Parts: sequence; structure tokens; C-alpha cells
Amino acid sequence: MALDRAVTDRRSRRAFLEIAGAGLAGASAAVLGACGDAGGGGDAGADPEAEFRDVEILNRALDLENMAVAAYTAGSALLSGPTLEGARRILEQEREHAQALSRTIRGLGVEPNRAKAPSAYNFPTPKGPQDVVKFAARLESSVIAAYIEAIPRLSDPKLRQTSAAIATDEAEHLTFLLQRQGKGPGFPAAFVTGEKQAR
Amino acid sequence: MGAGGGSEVRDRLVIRDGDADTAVIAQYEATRREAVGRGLIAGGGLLGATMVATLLGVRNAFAQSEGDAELISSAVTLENTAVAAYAAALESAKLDAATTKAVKTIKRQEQAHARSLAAALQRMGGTPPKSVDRALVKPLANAESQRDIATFAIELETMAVAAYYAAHGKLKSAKLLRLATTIMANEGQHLVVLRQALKQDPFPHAFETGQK
Repeated sequence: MALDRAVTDRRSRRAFLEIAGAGLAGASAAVLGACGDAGGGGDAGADPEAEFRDVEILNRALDLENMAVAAYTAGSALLSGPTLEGARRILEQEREHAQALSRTIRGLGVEPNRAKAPSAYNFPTPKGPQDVVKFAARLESSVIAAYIEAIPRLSDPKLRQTSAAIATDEAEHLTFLLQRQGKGPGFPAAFVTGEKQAR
Repeated sequence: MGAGGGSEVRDRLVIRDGDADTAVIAQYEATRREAVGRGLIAGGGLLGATMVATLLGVRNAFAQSEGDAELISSAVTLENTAVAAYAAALESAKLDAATTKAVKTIKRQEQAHARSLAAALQRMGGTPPKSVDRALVKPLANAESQRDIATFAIELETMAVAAYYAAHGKLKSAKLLRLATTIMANEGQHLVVLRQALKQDPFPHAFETGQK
């Protein structure tokens, strides 16, 4: 299944994340099945298993951020004017997310996942700037949904906070991208779940 | 003028709502420097001292909350304050058509947050706090410009983001965490539109924590 199809298929957000090699949802199922309700909110440093789960989640998030960096890098070539300016700003911020996640993972004693080669993502070929913007909005929505799913599973409260701060930034990107599609002010839902909100 | 000498003092608020009591003034004085630093006093277009006191009071109550029920109760108060503030902003008749439309949507969304949080609190056996005193945000209805209103709204939304950011470090329930994230993300989206109204960078922070 091509990445674009996976993103647009409403039933397959999990599949999309797994196909992208960045499956927070997959991580939830495979790694976090025994995590419990909200992870208890305890000190991750005191629990090696909880710390391991946190690292797994952070590495999946890092994969997503690296994919976003690749997508904006590739897509920017077709953009111009205010849309390009915004996309460049977003790209900078996705890089900052990736760098912060890498530092955190390394701080926990684990080597962070490396970014894939851009060609490995098999991004669809956009026909014009609107295709880039639409794809980016779908990507941001999927990333938001992944963070919302991941946050309660993180055991370290500080990591939950950082993840929420990133998810909020992604929601801000989504607003900009919806605006660039002419979809009004760009905040259609009171609760930003990332699901179905880029369509 | 209790809050500090009128318009010749550029870093102080002019109190336009003459019913501010001394306790409010004292609270205002205590937080004046912070208010100045946070840009609540913008270019001489000024809001009442009660407004600043209300905002800081809501934020401080949220910051001091512990436990899921208390946190959600504080969040309800925060959202109700936002609803009242946006209602007063709409009464001002200082907003242009596009901003009026956006603010109406924002107000509806803050109402939805308040309802959802109140319902969550009731499911936990708690009693939602009473609605806020609309008189506290009444000065917003007398704001002199759209710029003043947007400046205040940015401060309000930034504090909301900061409150939810803090709550993510304290909440235990997975469902409440999810709810908090979906609301915090929406407050961030409001910030984008409000910043655009002031021709500011719409998303200046890679990590939207509500800190300045």
C-alpha cells in the first residue's frame, strides 16, 4: 500500500504508521500492551521496564519526526511565497523535535533510531503545491493522533509534557496548512484528535 | 488612581473599571512587573486591573492544583473564564468581521471544552465549579481596539496552554490525559489565529509550553 493511500484511508492510521516505519500505534500494541492505564505517573528512572517502554515510544516518535523532516524537505521544492515560508518554519520545528527526542533517548542510554534515506519513505509524487499542502496536513494529523495515543503510555511525566508541547505545535502547523488550502481559519474542531481533521 | 498614576506611567495599567477594590489593586501591584513583562500592557491601550488579576488568579489556581479532580475543576474555571472573556470581547464591537467570526468559533470551542471537562468531573463524583463572575471580564467589553483584545486573548490562551502543559505532568487518568492533550492542541490553534491578527509569527515555538 502506498504511503499516500495509507494516509488517506480513514481505517488505516495504524497501518500508515506501521508502513511508515514509525508506528507509534504499533508500538502501543507490541511494546505497551502491559503498560496499564496512564503508566502510573511514577518515576521512570526508578523502573527499568518503564524506562524501556518510554524509550521505545520516543524512538517511534523520532521516526515520525524524521519522516516529517523528509516530507517537508521534499515538498518545499514545489512551494512558493507565504506557503513556502511557513513550510520552512515548520521544517525547522520538526527538526527541533527530532533533535530533542534524540537527545532525550541518548540521555536514557540508548542510541536513537537513525533517519531513513528520503527515498525509503516512498512519498507520493505531488502534481502541484496543493498536493504538497494536503499531504502535509494529513501527515500532521496522523502525527497528532500518534502523540495523543502515546502520551498516556509514557511513564515519565516530563516526557508527557514534552510530547504534549510537540503535539500542540503540530496542531498549530495543521491550522496553517488548512488555511493554505482555503479551509477557513483552520481550527474546525474543539478537540484536536488528529483523526479525520485534515480532510 | 490606585494602580499607578495614569497614562503618564507607561508601564502601568490604567484602571477604567472604577470598582476595583483594594485587594485587587494589591494583587495587581504584586503582579504588575510580570504583567508588563508578559506584554499585557501594550502601547498605551490598556485593560483594567481586574482583568489581569482575574487571569493571574485563574492561572495560579490551576498551577497549585493537585489530583485529577482538582485539576479538572481548575480547568473548568479556566475555560469558563475564557468563555466570559470572549463574550465580553464580542460585546466590544471593536472586532472586524473576520476576527468576530474567528472569536465566535473560539468561544464556542471554549464552551465545548468547559462542558466536556465538567462532564468528566461529574463522572468522577465531583461538582463542577460555578460559572465565573462576568463582571471580572467586563472591562474587555470596553476595550479601545481590536489590538488590545487580541493582546489579552493571546495572554489568556498562552496561560491556558501553560496550565494544560503543567497538568500533563500531574494527571493520572489516561482518558483525562487524552482529553487534556486534545484541548491543549486546540488552544494552540487559537493562538495561531490570534497571533496572525496581530501580524505576529503564527507558530514561534517548536515546543508550545505556554512559557515565555
